[in-house]
Amino acid sequence: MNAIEVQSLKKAYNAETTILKDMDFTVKEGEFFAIVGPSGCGKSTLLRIIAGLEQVTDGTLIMNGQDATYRRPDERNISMVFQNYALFPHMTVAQNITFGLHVKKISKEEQKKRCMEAAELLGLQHLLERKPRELSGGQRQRVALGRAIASQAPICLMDEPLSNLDAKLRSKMRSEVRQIQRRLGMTMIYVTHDQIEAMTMADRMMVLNGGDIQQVGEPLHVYNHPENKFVATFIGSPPMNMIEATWHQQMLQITDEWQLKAVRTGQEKLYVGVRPEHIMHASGGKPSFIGKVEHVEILGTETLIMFSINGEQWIAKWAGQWNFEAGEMLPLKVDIEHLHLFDFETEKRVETAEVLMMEALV
Amino acid sequence: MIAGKAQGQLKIKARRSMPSFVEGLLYLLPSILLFSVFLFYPMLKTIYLSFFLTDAQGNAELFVGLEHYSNLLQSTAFRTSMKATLLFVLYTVPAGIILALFLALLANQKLKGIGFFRTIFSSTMGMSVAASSVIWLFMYNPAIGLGNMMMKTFGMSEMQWLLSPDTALISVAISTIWMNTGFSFMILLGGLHNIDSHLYESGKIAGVSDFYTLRKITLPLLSPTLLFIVTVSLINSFQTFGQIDILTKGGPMESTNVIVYSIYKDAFVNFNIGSASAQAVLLFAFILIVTILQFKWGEKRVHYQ
Ligand SMILES: Nc1ncnc2c1ncn2[C@@H]1O[C@H](COP(=O)(O)OP(=O)(O)O)[C@@H](O)[C@H]1O
Ligand SMILES: [Mg+2]
Repeated sequence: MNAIEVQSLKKAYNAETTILKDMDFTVKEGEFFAIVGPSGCGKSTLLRIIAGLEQVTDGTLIMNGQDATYRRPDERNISMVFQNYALFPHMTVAQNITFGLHVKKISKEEQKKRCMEAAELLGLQHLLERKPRELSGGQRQRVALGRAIASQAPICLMDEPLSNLDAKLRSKMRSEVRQIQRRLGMTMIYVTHDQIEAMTMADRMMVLNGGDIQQVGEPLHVYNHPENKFVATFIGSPPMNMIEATWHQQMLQITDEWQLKAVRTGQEKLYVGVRPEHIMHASGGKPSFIGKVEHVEILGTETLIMFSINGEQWIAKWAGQWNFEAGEMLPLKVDIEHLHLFDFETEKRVETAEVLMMEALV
Repeated sequence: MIAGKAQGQLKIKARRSMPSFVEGLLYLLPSILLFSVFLFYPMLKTIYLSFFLTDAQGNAELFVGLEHYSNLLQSTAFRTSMKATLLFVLYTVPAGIILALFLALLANQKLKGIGFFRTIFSSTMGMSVAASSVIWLFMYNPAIGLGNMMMKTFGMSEMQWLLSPDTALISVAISTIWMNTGFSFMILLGGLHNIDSHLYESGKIAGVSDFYTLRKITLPLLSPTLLFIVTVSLINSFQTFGQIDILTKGGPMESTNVIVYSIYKDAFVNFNIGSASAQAVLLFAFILIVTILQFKWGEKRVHYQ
């Protein structure tokens, strides 16, 4: 069953700029749904519309099978965790966790019970009498989660909840949030600009750019089959390498030495993309191209090699530790099935199999 | 060896801290000088003079000890003056702050054209006491004033406003509230702006009532601002002078002869500078105590973020 259905939703703050353009998507019950996109693309606006904190300009929002477009926030059965946690500085942790429960006529004992359960789940038992200013960033984050848990709302909205934490704590909280969501079976809509969070936490993710939906799907599918050039370069770290290729009769010319036999499509040019982990050392075989090493970052378990190819800077990611001098010429190889092609005009995905002849490496 | 090194460091610290203390003083010198000339010296001089009989120029002539003080505490005039002052504070401070808070809450709403009202509500801040007093002098004029015109339209009997001992103090208080609202409004609006809007959104999602929001979110988080504005308003109110001088000159029948006005009259009309000084010292002590009490009281109730 769908927990949320968004139908041709539009949002504009003023006549000139439309923040969200004609959105359609659904979120299933019990699903961890991540909304990811660069800063300013309208993620928070979308989440706030779902919460009822902003009004839609046009379109319909269906929650739990009922039209909720114009419902008040408290009628939507949601909880929300804000980026800055929105804790009440004058209330104790316990009061913060149980805030607002009295509205739903929940007895004092039940409130206390829920508070204890949430605190136990989050390891906050010993902090219940403290004020937010006496907590660390991570503990505050947990209190904010605690409020969402204690409210027992079936839908939980989170707006970049981990972005104020340091890297180590963030990765710990990623798995904690995910586990709690699974255990409680809540429907989670999770906004983030960090594609790693979306990749690692979500059942499905939606990539936004400039108020437009770019792609919706399971993280691995989005990673392996990006619908367009934006998704290809936004998802993945380091990002997908991209270069322009031109047609010469039935050949796709990528660099001077790298050309592929192909079935020509209409356009003059194509974008060719390769993920960093798919660029390999040619090691004796025929190299696809030669890269000139510019810089090497050895990260311990893996090595990032920045090199130039036809004036573009590309990155290769190899397992293990490798050391090259700047200026060294590296023979490199890419398998055809690892190439991503994108239309030059629309930047939409072109299925590789339709264009390239798999056996025909020249 | 290590201990010796530590001692050496301590010495270096001590040697450094002396010049830095002097350096600090140098930075403070301009304000210390200004404060000394315009604040500390007059204050000490006032306390000094309150123990003396003086001539018309304010030179100390005869040491009388605490005589001024004992005279004051026994005099009915001083008691009337104290009573007028306390009543005046009581009329102006709570009403003024509640009004300003109400306006600030209104102006803090996100509505179209709210900027216009913000300007209107804070406009009295830009007006001098003299100018505002003259406006109110006209308003209170029994024959042509707006005050009586309004009373007439509402079918009530005309009033003497500033001319009757029963209503004069309240009339001055009303005009004072009007004059001070702009400032209190601005400060409170600033305080409201500083409250994180996400807290209100959390409240909306939980569905708490507006009154609950006011009581449990707005007021606690506004409490530092409220304490500040209460303190400033109290001190201001205790020291009211300009509007009294222009509107009533302490009359009728001493009913608006608040303490600062009484000090002024004793010092510059009756040339009884010793007694005026004693009153000033008493007022100072009183305000000091009230303010200290207020901060003590506020310590537990004010939530600093
Ligand atoms: N209240 C508002 N009035 C006008 N424009 C706004 C308002 N809130 C957000 N915007 C604009 O909407 C766009 C999307 O904002 P937001 O949803 O916060 O982006 P994100 O959360 O993805 O970073 C931004 O360009 C921002 O400037
Ligand atoms: Mg945002």
